[in-house]
Formats: sequence, C-alpha cells, structure tokens
Amino acid sequence: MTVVALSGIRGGVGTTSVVAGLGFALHLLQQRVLMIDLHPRNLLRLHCNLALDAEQGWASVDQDAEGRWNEALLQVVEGLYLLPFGQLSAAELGALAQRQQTQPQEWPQRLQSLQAHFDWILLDLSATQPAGQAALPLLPEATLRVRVVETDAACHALLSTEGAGDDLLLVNRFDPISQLQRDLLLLWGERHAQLIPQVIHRDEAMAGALAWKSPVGHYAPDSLASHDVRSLATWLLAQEVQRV
Amino acid sequence: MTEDERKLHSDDIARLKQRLGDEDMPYQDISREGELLAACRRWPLLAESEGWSSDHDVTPTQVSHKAPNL
Repeated sequence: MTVVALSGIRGGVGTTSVVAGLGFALHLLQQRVLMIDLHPRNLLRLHCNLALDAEQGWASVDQDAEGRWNEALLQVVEGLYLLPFGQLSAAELGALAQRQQTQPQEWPQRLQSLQAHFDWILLDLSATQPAGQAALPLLPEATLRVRVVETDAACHALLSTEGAGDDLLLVNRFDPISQLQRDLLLLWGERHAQLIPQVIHRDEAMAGALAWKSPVGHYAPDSLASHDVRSLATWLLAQEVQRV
Repeated sequence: MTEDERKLHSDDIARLKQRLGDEDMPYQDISREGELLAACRRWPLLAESEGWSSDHDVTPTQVSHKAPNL
C-alpha cells in the first residue's frame, strides 16, 4: 500500500479536484483506492456525489463515539472508497486539533489498519501553513508527499522562500499559452529535481467536474485534464514498481 | 557494429568530447541557459530568486516607521 499525501503549497490550487481525479484514474488502472479527506472544509465528498448537507465523516463520527472513525467509510464504486471529513463546529475542530497533538500516532495507526485493504490511500490535506502553524496530522514516514502548485508568481515566491523540502511538486492548471507559466515551468524543471514530469493542463473540465459532482475522469473522460491525470496515475504506478 | 556500439557512436556529444580529449568536460545546454536568461530578463521576481540583481526602475525606500499621514 502506498500513502500519497497531497496538499497545495498555498490555498486554491485545486488539490481536492486532483485527489478525486487521481483516485478515479488509479481505480481505472485496477487499483484498490481509498481517498481520505483530511481537510476540515470537507469538499472531497462532493466529487463523489454526496449531498451538500451530508454531514457524516470520520471526524464527526469520532466526536460521537471515539474509535469508530471508520464507520464513515463509503464505497464510491467497487474498488474505490471515500472517507469524508464530516461537518464539525468550530469548537469541535478545536478539540480535534488538540487531540491530534496529544495523540500524534492516531493517523499512522489508522492507516496501518487500512493497509491490507488498499493499494493506494490518497490524502487530501489543507494547504501548507507557514512554519509554526502546522495543522497537519502526523503521517507515516513512508508517505509520498506531493505539493500541488500552479505556475504563477505566488507559488514561485513561496517555493523560493519556504521551499518544499523533498516533496514532489505537481503542477496543476498549466496553461502553455502564458509566457510566464512557460518560463516558470522551465526554471522549476532546472531547479527542482522533484518536479513531476507530468503536468495537469488548465482545463474547464476540471472545474466542471466538481459542479457535476464527480471526478474529472468520470465527468469528461476525453478531456485534456483527464488524460493528464491518467498519465499521472501511470507515472505514480511506475514509481511504485521502482520503489518496491 | 552491434546495437550498443551504434548507440554509442550516435551520441554526438560523447564523440565530440572524445575528439577533444576531455571526457570530464561538463556538458552545458547552451540553448536552455539562454532561455533561462531570457526568462529572468522578462520577470524581475525570477531574476531575484536566481540571485541576480534586477534592474527594476521602482524600488520602495524606507522613509519612516510611522504610518503615512493621510
């Protein structure tokens, strides 16, 4: 089993839509996939056709009865599963953050217990916070960390000042018509060895997917973004074959 | 000539290095360097992140620690 943690280098780079698209693409490659929403905004569920007012998720179930987080697990289609975050109040979110600090091993243990059932577990995380405001749960060491970036000046500034450590960089919404985006992709290709060679192009299909409440590969299988995400899934599979 | 030998001989850069007698000569992609240079000329932010001084016209100077009077 491979755990892939995806987070934006800043908010609004389209991480959740990438997680949903990638989960579906890996599913099409006959992989057993679980997508876990670790983002309190709880939006990943909408890519899986859950209702706007559907409140259940691992965090909300856990509030009611500790240790029963996995009761919120949903099957999207055979072999593709979703664990929504759930709807929490501000006070409940505070309590959850506190518990994550006192019990940091919680998620590594949970992922361990899921290991036998899935080939891939994709985590949708909130955008990285500036250092010192870490709100992310602790993850197993072997986690493949992917930072989603857009080829724009803000992401470049953050990459220059904060860096991305050893995390893989995934370019989303790439528009080759833009001189600036071409320039940034060229520069990043030279300076960041961890840049994933497959970019996801800017494509209206990606925006439509959420409005259509499905992953992009289901909403518009022949779109450019769908092809990109499928190639990305194949690339990840090839990486795993090499790693094992 | 075997397939491997053919591949070896079709590598122009390796052959050029052999001819020049310097196997350790670092290979520089000149066209790529040029493109990077052009990119940094176009965008001061890129130039700055690459450690080049940008020749931007307007740079704010520190005038006072107090908020400006409006």
